[in-house]
Amino acid sequence: MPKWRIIDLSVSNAAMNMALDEAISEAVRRKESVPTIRFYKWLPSAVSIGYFQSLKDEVDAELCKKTGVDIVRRRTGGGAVYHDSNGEITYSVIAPEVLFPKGITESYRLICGWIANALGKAGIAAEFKPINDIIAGGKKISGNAQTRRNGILLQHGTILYKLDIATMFSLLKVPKEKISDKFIADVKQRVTSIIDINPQVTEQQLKDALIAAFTEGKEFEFGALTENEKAAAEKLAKERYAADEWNYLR
Amino acid sequence: MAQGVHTEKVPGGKLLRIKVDFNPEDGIVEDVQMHGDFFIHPEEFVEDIEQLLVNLDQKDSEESIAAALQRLIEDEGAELVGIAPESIAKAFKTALSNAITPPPLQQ
Repeated sequence: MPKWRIIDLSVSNAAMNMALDEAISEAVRRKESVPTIRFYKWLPSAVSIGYFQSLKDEVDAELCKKTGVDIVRRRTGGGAVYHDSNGEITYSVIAPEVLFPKGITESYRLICGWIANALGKAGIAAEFKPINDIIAGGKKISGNAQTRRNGILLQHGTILYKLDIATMFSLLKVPKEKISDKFIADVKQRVTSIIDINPQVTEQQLKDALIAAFTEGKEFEFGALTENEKAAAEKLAKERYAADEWNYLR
Repeated sequence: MAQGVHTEKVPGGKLLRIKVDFNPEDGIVEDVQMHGDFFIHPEEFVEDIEQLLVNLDQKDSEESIAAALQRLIEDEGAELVGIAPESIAKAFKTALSNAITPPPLQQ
Protein backbone atom coordinates (compact mmCIF):
# COMPACT_ATOMS: atom_id res chain seq x y z
CA MET A 1 0.00 0.00 0.00
CA PRO A 2 1.47 3.37 -0.98
CA LYS A 3 2.23 5.95 1.63
CA TRP A 4 0.63 9.33 1.03
CA ARG A 5 1.86 12.80 1.88
CA ILE A 6 -0.77 15.24 3.14
CA ILE A 7 0.08 18.91 2.71
CA ASP A 8 -2.08 20.91 5.08
CA LEU A 9 -4.01 24.00 4.02
CA SER A 10 -1.78 26.67 2.51
CA VAL A 11 -2.50 29.94 0.75
CA SER A 12 -0.95 31.09 -2.54
CA ASN A 13 -1.76 33.19 -5.54
CA ALA A 14 -3.35 31.64 -8.63
CA ALA A 15 -0.21 31.12 -10.70
CA MET A 16 1.60 29.53 -7.77
CA ASN A 17 -1.31 27.24 -6.91
CA MET A 18 -1.40 25.85 -10.43
CA ALA A 19 2.40 25.70 -10.59
CA LEU A 20 2.53 23.73 -7.34
CA ASP A 21 0.07 21.14 -8.67
CA GLU A 22 2.27 20.69 -11.72
CA ALA A 23 5.58 20.68 -9.84
CA ILE A 24 4.27 18.03 -7.43
CA SER A 25 3.00 15.94 -10.39
CA GLU A 26 6.47 16.04 -11.89
CA ALA A 27 8.12 15.10 -8.57
CA VAL A 28 5.71 12.18 -8.14
CA ARG A 29 6.42 11.07 -11.71
CA ARG A 30 10.15 11.05 -10.98
CA LYS A 31 9.41 9.14 -7.75
CA GLU A 32 11.09 11.92 -5.76
CA SER A 33 7.81 12.48 -3.94
CA VAL A 34 5.16 10.05 -2.73
CA PRO A 35 1.50 10.37 -3.80
CA THR A 36 0.25 13.66 -2.43
CA ILE A 37 -2.97 15.27 -1.30
CA ARG A 38 -2.84 19.02 -0.90
CA PHE A 39 -5.39 21.52 0.45
CA TYR A 40 -5.17 25.17 -0.47
CA LYS A 41 -6.78 28.56 -0.79
CA TRP A 42 -6.32 31.46 -3.19
CA LEU A 43 -5.02 34.88 -2.19
CA PRO A 44 -5.91 37.15 -3.83
CA SER A 45 -9.25 35.72 -4.93
CA ALA A 46 -8.96 34.35 -8.44
CA VAL A 47 -10.77 33.06 -11.49
CA SER A 48 -9.46 29.84 -12.98
CA ILE A 49 -10.56 28.75 -16.42
CA GLY A 50 -10.52 25.30 -17.99
CA TYR A 51 -7.75 24.43 -20.43
CA PHE A 52 -10.12 24.54 -23.42
CA GLN A 53 -11.92 27.75 -22.56
CA SER A 54 -11.40 31.11 -24.20
CA LEU A 55 -10.28 33.59 -21.55
CA LYS A 56 -11.86 36.45 -23.50
CA ASP A 57 -15.18 34.63 -23.73
CA GLU A 58 -15.28 33.61 -20.07
CA VAL A 59 -13.72 36.34 -17.93
CA ASP A 60 -14.07 40.10 -17.50
CA ALA A 61 -10.29 40.58 -17.39
CA GLU A 62 -10.55 44.32 -16.99
CA LEU A 63 -12.74 44.08 -13.90
CA CYS A 64 -10.47 41.37 -12.47
CA LYS A 65 -7.50 43.68 -12.86
CA LYS A 66 -9.37 46.61 -11.35
CA THR A 67 -10.49 44.59 -8.33
CA GLY A 68 -7.21 42.73 -7.85
CA VAL A 69 -8.52 39.30 -8.80
CA ASP A 70 -6.01 36.88 -10.37
CA ILE A 71 -6.79 34.97 -13.55
CA VAL A 72 -5.19 31.65 -14.44
CA ARG A 73 -5.69 28.95 -17.06
CA ARG A 74 -5.64 25.45 -15.57
CA ARG A 75 -4.04 22.55 -17.32
CA THR A 76 -7.21 20.59 -16.63
CA GLY A 77 -10.40 20.95 -18.65
CA GLY A 78 -13.74 21.94 -17.14
CA GLY A 79 -15.33 25.28 -16.51
CA ALA A 80 -14.49 28.72 -15.16
CA VAL A 81 -14.42 28.94 -11.36
CA TYR A 82 -14.38 31.93 -9.04
CA HIS A 83 -12.12 31.09 -6.10
CA ASP A 84 -13.14 33.47 -3.33
CA SER A 85 -10.31 33.84 -0.78
CA ASN A 86 -12.77 33.19 2.01
CA GLY A 87 -15.38 31.16 0.20
CA GLU A 88 -13.93 27.75 -0.56
CA ILE A 89 -11.32 25.09 0.03
CA THR A 90 -9.47 23.62 -2.95
CA TYR A 91 -7.76 20.23 -2.96
CA SER A 92 -5.50 18.37 -5.31
CA VAL A 93 -4.81 14.65 -5.49
CA ILE A 94 -1.60 13.73 -7.31
CA ALA A 95 -0.58 10.11 -7.71
CA PRO A 96 0.36 7.42 -10.24
CA GLU A 97 -2.75 6.65 -12.27
CA VAL A 98 -2.35 2.92 -11.59
CA LEU A 99 -3.70 3.64 -8.09
CA PHE A 100 -7.05 4.66 -9.63
CA PRO A 101 -9.72 3.06 -11.81
CA LYS A 102 -8.81 3.24 -15.49
CA GLY A 103 -12.11 4.84 -16.48
CA ILE A 104 -12.23 8.61 -16.10
CA THR A 105 -15.75 8.64 -14.63
CA GLU A 106 -14.89 5.83 -12.21
CA SER A 107 -11.83 7.69 -10.95
CA TYR A 108 -13.91 10.86 -10.50
CA ARG A 109 -16.42 8.73 -8.62
CA LEU A 110 -13.72 7.45 -6.27
CA ILE A 111 -12.16 10.81 -5.39
CA CYS A 112 -15.49 12.65 -5.36
CA GLY A 113 -16.65 9.95 -2.97
CA TRP A 114 -14.01 11.15 -0.49
CA ILE A 115 -15.47 14.66 -0.74
CA ALA A 116 -19.03 13.38 -0.28
CA ASN A 117 -17.81 11.50 2.82
CA ALA A 118 -16.20 14.66 4.16
CA LEU A 119 -19.41 16.60 3.65
CA GLY A 120 -21.27 13.78 5.38
CA LYS A 121 -18.94 14.16 8.39
CA ALA A 122 -19.87 17.87 8.41
CA GLY A 123 -23.54 16.91 8.48
CA ILE A 124 -24.23 17.60 4.82
CA ALA A 125 -25.63 14.80 2.67
CA ALA A 126 -23.92 14.93 -0.73
CA GLU A 127 -23.34 12.71 -3.71
CA PHE A 128 -21.26 12.46 -6.87
CA LYS A 129 -23.04 13.61 -10.00
CA PRO A 130 -21.24 12.62 -13.21
CA ILE A 131 -19.39 13.98 -15.03
CA ASN A 132 -17.46 15.92 -12.40
CA ASP A 133 -19.77 17.51 -9.83
CA ILE A 134 -20.86 16.86 -6.27
CA ILE A 135 -24.37 17.87 -5.34
CA ALA A 136 -26.11 18.47 -2.03
CA GLY A 137 -29.89 18.85 -1.95
CA GLY A 138 -29.85 18.71 -5.75
CA LYS A 139 -27.47 21.69 -6.04
CA LYS A 140 -23.81 21.82 -6.98
CA ILE A 141 -21.49 22.23 -4.01
CA SER A 142 -18.21 21.06 -5.55
CA GLY A 143 -16.64 21.08 -9.01
CA ASN A 144 -13.69 18.91 -9.99
CA ALA A 145 -11.27 18.50 -12.88
CA GLN A 146 -8.82 15.77 -13.75
CA THR A 147 -5.92 15.23 -16.09
CA ARG A 148 -3.54 12.35 -16.63
CA ARG A 149 -0.09 12.86 -17.98
CA ASN A 150 2.98 10.63 -18.12
CA GLY A 151 1.25 8.08 -15.91
CA ILE A 152 0.33 10.62 -13.21
CA LEU A 153 -3.23 11.51 -12.31
CA LEU A 154 -3.93 15.04 -11.10
CA GLN A 155 -7.39 15.86 -9.86
CA HIS A 156 -8.15 19.18 -8.29
CA GLY A 157 -11.43 20.65 -7.23
CA THR A 158 -13.16 23.11 -5.03
CA ILE A 159 -15.62 22.76 -2.17
CA LEU A 160 -17.83 25.81 -1.79
CA TYR A 161 -17.91 27.11 1.76
CA LYS A 162 -19.64 30.44 1.24
CA LEU A 163 -21.15 31.85 -1.95
CA ASP A 164 -20.81 35.34 -3.32
CA ILE A 165 -22.87 34.99 -6.46
CA ALA A 166 -22.94 38.70 -7.28
CA THR A 167 -19.12 38.95 -7.33
CA MET A 168 -18.79 35.58 -9.08
CA PHE A 169 -20.96 36.64 -12.00
CA SER A 170 -19.55 40.14 -12.25
CA LEU A 171 -16.15 38.55 -13.00
CA LEU A 172 -17.38 35.65 -15.13
CA LYS A 173 -18.82 36.74 -18.44
CA VAL A 174 -22.51 36.48 -18.32
CA PRO A 175 -24.28 39.15 -20.34
CA LYS A 176 -24.59 41.99 -17.83
CA GLU A 177 -28.28 42.39 -18.48
CA LYS A 178 -28.73 38.80 -17.29
CA ILE A 179 -27.32 39.60 -13.84
CA SER A 180 -30.66 40.56 -12.42
CA ASP A 181 -32.26 39.54 -9.15
CA LYS A 182 -33.96 36.77 -11.07
CA PHE A 183 -30.67 35.52 -12.49
CA ILE A 184 -29.15 35.39 -9.02
CA ALA A 185 -32.23 33.57 -7.74
CA ASP A 186 -31.86 31.07 -10.61
CA VAL A 187 -28.20 30.43 -9.76
CA LYS A 188 -29.20 29.86 -6.14
CA GLN A 189 -31.45 27.08 -7.38
CA ARG A 190 -28.45 25.35 -8.94
CA VAL A 191 -25.45 26.14 -6.69
CA THR A 192 -25.09 25.95 -2.94
CA SER A 193 -22.42 26.09 -0.24
CA ILE A 194 -21.68 24.66 3.18
CA ILE A 195 -23.09 27.57 5.14
CA ASP A 196 -26.18 27.79 2.95
CA ILE A 197 -26.99 24.29 4.18
CA ASN A 198 -25.51 24.30 7.67
CA PRO A 199 -24.41 27.70 9.02
CA GLN A 200 -22.96 25.97 12.11
CA VAL A 201 -20.07 24.39 10.17
CA THR A 202 -16.83 26.35 10.49
CA GLU A 203 -14.16 26.37 7.84
CA GLN A 204 -11.86 24.57 10.28
CA GLN A 205 -14.44 21.80 10.69
CA LEU A 206 -14.77 21.49 6.92
CA LYS A 207 -11.01 21.22 6.55
CA ASP A 208 -10.76 18.62 9.33
CA ALA A 209 -13.57 16.61 7.71
CA LEU A 210 -11.81 16.76 4.33
CA ILE A 211 -8.50 15.55 5.78
CA ALA A 212 -10.25 12.76 7.69
CA ALA A 213 -12.20 11.58 4.64
CA PHE A 214 -9.32 11.85 2.15
CA THR A 215 -6.97 9.85 4.39
CA GLU A 216 -9.45 7.16 5.43
CA GLY A 217 -7.92 3.72 4.85
CA LYS A 218 -4.61 5.20 3.69
CA GLU A 219 -1.18 5.09 5.20
CA PHE A 220 -0.13 8.74 5.33
CA GLU A 221 1.83 11.44 7.06
CA PHE A 222 1.67 15.19 7.04
CA GLY A 223 4.50 16.68 5.05
CA ALA A 224 5.78 19.83 3.43
CA LEU A 225 6.83 20.70 -0.09
CA THR A 226 10.39 19.68 -0.96
CA GLU A 227 12.93 22.32 -1.90
CA ASN A 228 12.91 20.97 -5.46
CA GLU A 229 9.12 21.24 -5.69
CA LYS A 230 9.22 24.82 -4.41
CA ALA A 231 11.93 25.83 -6.87
CA ALA A 232 10.21 24.12 -9.81
CA ALA A 233 6.89 25.74 -8.86
CA GLU A 234 8.43 29.22 -8.64
CA LYS A 235 9.80 28.77 -12.14
CA LEU A 236 6.54 27.35 -13.55
CA ALA A 237 4.50 30.12 -11.91
CA LYS A 238 6.64 32.80 -13.48
CA GLU A 239 7.23 31.25 -16.88
CA ARG A 240 3.86 29.63 -17.52
CA TYR A 241 0.96 30.32 -15.19
CA ALA A 242 1.53 34.07 -14.79
CA ALA A 243 2.31 34.55 -18.49
CA ASP A 244 -0.20 35.96 -20.97
CA GLU A 245 1.06 33.47 -23.53
CA TRP A 246 -0.40 30.65 -21.43
CA ASN A 247 -3.45 32.41 -20.01
CA TYR A 248 -4.55 33.73 -23.41
CA LEU A 249 -3.54 30.47 -25.14
CA ARG A 250 -7.07 29.81 -26.40
CA MET B 1 -12.77 37.02 -43.47
CA ALA B 2 -16.05 35.73 -42.10
CA GLN B 3 -16.39 34.03 -38.75
CA GLY B 4 -19.12 31.58 -37.90
CA VAL B 5 -19.80 30.48 -34.35
CA HIS B 6 -21.97 27.76 -32.97
CA THR B 7 -22.46 26.99 -29.29
CA GLU B 8 -24.18 23.91 -28.11
CA LYS B 9 -24.81 22.18 -24.81
CA VAL B 10 -24.09 18.53 -25.53
CA PRO B 11 -26.99 16.47 -24.15
CA GLY B 12 -25.78 14.86 -20.90
CA GLY B 13 -22.42 16.52 -21.50
CA LYS B 14 -20.64 19.83 -21.62
CA LEU B 15 -20.73 23.13 -23.46
CA LEU B 16 -19.04 23.13 -26.87
CA ARG B 17 -18.38 26.26 -28.92
CA ILE B 18 -16.81 26.07 -32.36
CA LYS B 19 -15.55 29.12 -34.22
CA VAL B 20 -14.76 28.84 -37.92
CA ASP B 21 -12.75 31.47 -39.83
CA PHE B 22 -13.80 31.25 -43.45
CA ASN B 23 -12.42 33.14 -46.42
CA PRO B 24 -15.40 33.82 -48.71
CA GLU B 25 -13.13 34.84 -51.60
CA ASP B 26 -11.43 31.50 -52.03
CA GLY B 27 -13.91 29.40 -50.04
CA ILE B 28 -11.21 28.12 -47.69
CA VAL B 29 -11.58 27.37 -43.98
CA GLU B 30 -8.56 29.10 -42.48
CA ASP B 31 -8.94 28.37 -38.79
CA VAL B 32 -11.10 26.39 -36.41
CA GLN B 33 -11.20 26.91 -32.65
CA MET B 34 -12.92 24.64 -30.22
CA HIS B 35 -13.78 25.99 -26.77
CA GLY B 36 -15.80 24.84 -23.80
CA ASP B 37 -15.83 23.15 -20.41
CA PHE B 38 -15.33 19.61 -21.75
CA PHE B 39 -12.31 17.37 -21.13
CA ILE B 40 -9.88 15.85 -23.62
CA HIS B 41 -7.03 13.56 -22.58
CA PRO B 42 -4.34 14.42 -23.49
CA GLU B 43 -5.30 18.09 -23.64
CA GLU B 44 -3.11 18.93 -26.66
CA PHE B 45 -5.16 16.53 -28.78
CA VAL B 46 -7.67 19.37 -29.21
CA GLU B 47 -5.22 20.83 -31.74
CA ASP B 48 -5.32 17.61 -33.79
CA ILE B 49 -9.11 17.86 -33.86
CA GLU B 50 -8.99 21.50 -34.93
CA GLN B 51 -6.46 20.66 -37.65
CA LEU B 52 -8.63 17.83 -38.98
CA LEU B 53 -11.58 20.22 -39.19
CA VAL B 54 -9.52 22.86 -41.03
CA ASN B 55 -8.32 20.37 -43.61
CA LEU B 56 -11.42 18.35 -44.39
CA ASP B 57 -13.58 18.67 -47.47
CA GLN B 58 -16.38 21.11 -46.66
CA LYS B 59 -18.86 18.92 -48.50
CA ASP B 60 -18.26 16.05 -46.09
CA SER B 61 -21.40 15.06 -44.25
CA GLU B 62 -21.73 15.28 -40.47
CA GLU B 63 -21.61 11.48 -40.38
CA SER B 64 -18.36 11.23 -42.30
CA ILE B 65 -16.72 13.99 -40.22
CA ALA B 66 -17.77 12.16 -37.05
CA ALA B 67 -16.31 8.93 -38.45
CA ALA B 68 -13.03 10.65 -39.33
CA LEU B 69 -12.84 12.11 -35.81
CA GLN B 70 -13.54 8.71 -34.30
CA ARG B 71 -10.67 7.17 -36.31
CA LEU B 72 -8.30 9.95 -35.21
CA ILE B 73 -9.30 9.46 -31.57
CA GLU B 74 -8.70 5.71 -31.79
CA ASP B 75 -5.40 6.09 -33.66
CA GLU B 76 -4.07 8.51 -31.07
CA GLY B 77 -5.57 6.76 -28.05
CA ALA B 78 -7.22 10.00 -26.95
CA GLU B 79 -10.26 10.23 -24.72
CA LEU B 80 -13.11 12.76 -24.87
CA VAL B 81 -15.30 13.48 -21.84
CA GLY B 82 -18.51 15.51 -22.10
CA ILE B 83 -18.34 15.80 -25.90
CA ALA B 84 -18.32 13.24 -28.70
CA PRO B 85 -17.32 13.07 -32.38
CA GLU B 86 -20.97 13.53 -33.38
CA SER B 87 -21.37 16.73 -31.32
CA ILE B 88 -18.11 18.17 -32.72
CA ALA B 89 -19.16 17.35 -36.31
CA LYS B 90 -22.57 18.92 -35.81
CA ALA B 91 -21.23 22.08 -34.15
CA PHE B 92 -18.57 22.44 -36.86
CA LYS B 93 -21.08 22.11 -39.73
CA THR B 94 -23.38 24.64 -38.09
CA ALA B 95 -20.56 27.11 -37.40
CA LEU B 96 -19.31 26.73 -40.98
CA SER B 97 -22.74 27.38 -42.45
CA ASN B 98 -23.07 30.41 -40.13
CA ALA B 99 -19.76 31.69 -41.55
CA ILE B 100 -20.88 31.19 -45.15
CA THR B 101 -24.37 32.55 -44.60
CA PRO B 102 -24.47 34.68 -41.46
CA PRO B 103 -27.63 34.04 -39.46
CA PRO B 104 -29.96 37.04 -39.04
CA LEU B 105 -29.06 39.14 -36.00
CA GLN B 106 -31.02 38.10 -32.99
CA GLN B 107 -33.18 40.77 -31.42
